[in-house]
Amino acid sequence: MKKKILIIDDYLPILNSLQMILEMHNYDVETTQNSAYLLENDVKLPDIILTDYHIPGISCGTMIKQLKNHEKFKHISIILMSGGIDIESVSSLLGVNDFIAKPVDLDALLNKIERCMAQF
Amino acid sequence: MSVRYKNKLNTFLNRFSRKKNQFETIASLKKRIQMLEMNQQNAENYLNNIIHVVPANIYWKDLNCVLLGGNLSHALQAGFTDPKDVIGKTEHDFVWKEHANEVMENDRLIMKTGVGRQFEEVGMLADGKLHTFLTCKAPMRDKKDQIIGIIGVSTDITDFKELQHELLQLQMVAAQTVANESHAKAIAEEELRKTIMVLVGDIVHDLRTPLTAIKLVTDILTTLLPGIIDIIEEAKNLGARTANLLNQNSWDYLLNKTPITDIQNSIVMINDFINTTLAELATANKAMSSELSRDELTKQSSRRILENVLKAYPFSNSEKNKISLNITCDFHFMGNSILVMKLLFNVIKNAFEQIALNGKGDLTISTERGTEYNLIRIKDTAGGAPPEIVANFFKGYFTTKEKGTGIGLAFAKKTMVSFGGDILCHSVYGESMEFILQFPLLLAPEACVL
Repeated sequence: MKKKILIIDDYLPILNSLQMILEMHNYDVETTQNSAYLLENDVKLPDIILTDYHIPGISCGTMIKQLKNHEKFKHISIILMSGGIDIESVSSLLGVNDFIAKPVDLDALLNKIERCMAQF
Repeated sequence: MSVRYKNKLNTFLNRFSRKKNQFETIASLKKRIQMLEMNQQNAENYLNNIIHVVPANIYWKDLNCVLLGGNLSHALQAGFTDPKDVIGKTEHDFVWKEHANEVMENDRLIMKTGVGRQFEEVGMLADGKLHTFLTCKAPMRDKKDQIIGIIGVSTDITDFKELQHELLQLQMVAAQTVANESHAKAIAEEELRKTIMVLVGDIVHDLRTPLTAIKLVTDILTTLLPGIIDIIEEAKNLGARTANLLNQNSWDYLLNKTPITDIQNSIVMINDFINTTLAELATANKAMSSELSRDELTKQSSRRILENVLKAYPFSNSEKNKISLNITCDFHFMGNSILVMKLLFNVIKNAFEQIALNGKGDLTISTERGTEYNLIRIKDTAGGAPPEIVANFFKGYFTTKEKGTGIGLAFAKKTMVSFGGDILCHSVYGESMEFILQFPLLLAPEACVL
């Protein structure tokens, strides 16, 4: 069964291209521009959330905190993407599983996704 | 007349003459005594006059601290109208009697030790106010040098003390105001730096977002291109008309993935540019907040820096003819090339603005080796500036320009200090202005390279 990845980003071209790439690598991909998408909708849970730091709706920090504190979502791995200058410290503060700087290095991203999937 | 009578007469005349001289001497002595008595009276009058007009209390007491005399000022302040009235009194009889014991204790100590003292005394006067006196007291001695009492001079310094107190208060308020202003300025600078860094962070994020999309699209194209090429080749083999529209050059271009590689290289270049700019900004930010550590400084060549500045500075045609570079010696220093170049840009820009404003002058940049510092000198002959202007150059937020921020030279100062050096300004008003950059010598001695 295909592993599912939920991508959250406000910039549509990134959502589209990442979806295509990850589907080409045999992942089941769902995309959204709404940070509260998972919290507000009863959908099939992803194995990994790949999220941008600057997202519309509730802040990325709030979203991650709510997911990690919720029994239903806390097992989901989260990879943070950011073009900001302080991604390393932000990731550490938020307690995400991994992070990747924009512009995204595709091989590095695929490795990180595989590593997260291997934890299940 | 017989000789005998003659002799007697002579003897009598002689005796008379002597007596007469004696009478004259006594009269003269009496006159002198009268004169001396008059002189003494005059002297006493003079002394009394002096004592009474002196703007201080003068008084003298016996060994039991009983007043023997004093001047008018002392009598009036003690609560009397005539100096004679204080004679025979003690401190307990005066308006400041509350402090009498303390005063008399002091007097006894001075008479006992024989050592005079100067000190401040306080006492309540008839006006109901507490007065402060600067008092000088010394033991009074007789001809045999025996202590027979005490003499004192007390000056009312209450007004002076109040002024002194007010001055102190004003100084404290002024110091507090300066400290507050300085603190507020430091906070404003810090806020400005933080705002700039947040702004930079936002710009970087906004640049990297579309860059990420472009890169991902090129990743997709890289993956899809072999399949597309296969399809095109198949179409060509099948004789498809549109497939033949591609000439050999276009075909090679696609086969080698050149367009995608070009885009990917451009993305790397843009991202590198962003990263370099970020690093430079972080360094500049640290220099502005004096946090630049020695580990972050690298070895720089003065010649290379100056040549790069001259290559990069956007000189106008007229400016190019007015600048001359006189590198007599290349030296190295530990610093940050971006910061030094920014500093030099600033100083050169200021100089050319002055040259344009005054319609005269040229600019010379030179290097010089020293025993304590190596120097870069930037001198213009546009007319200099008055000393009061020069004194404020490096203080920050000071500018004489309509659109100046006053940050440039303060930044220059901080930059040079962060290298362990300094920047100085020598101005000859009406003639020239010279900025001297002082760079600390490297630990290892270096040869002068031309």
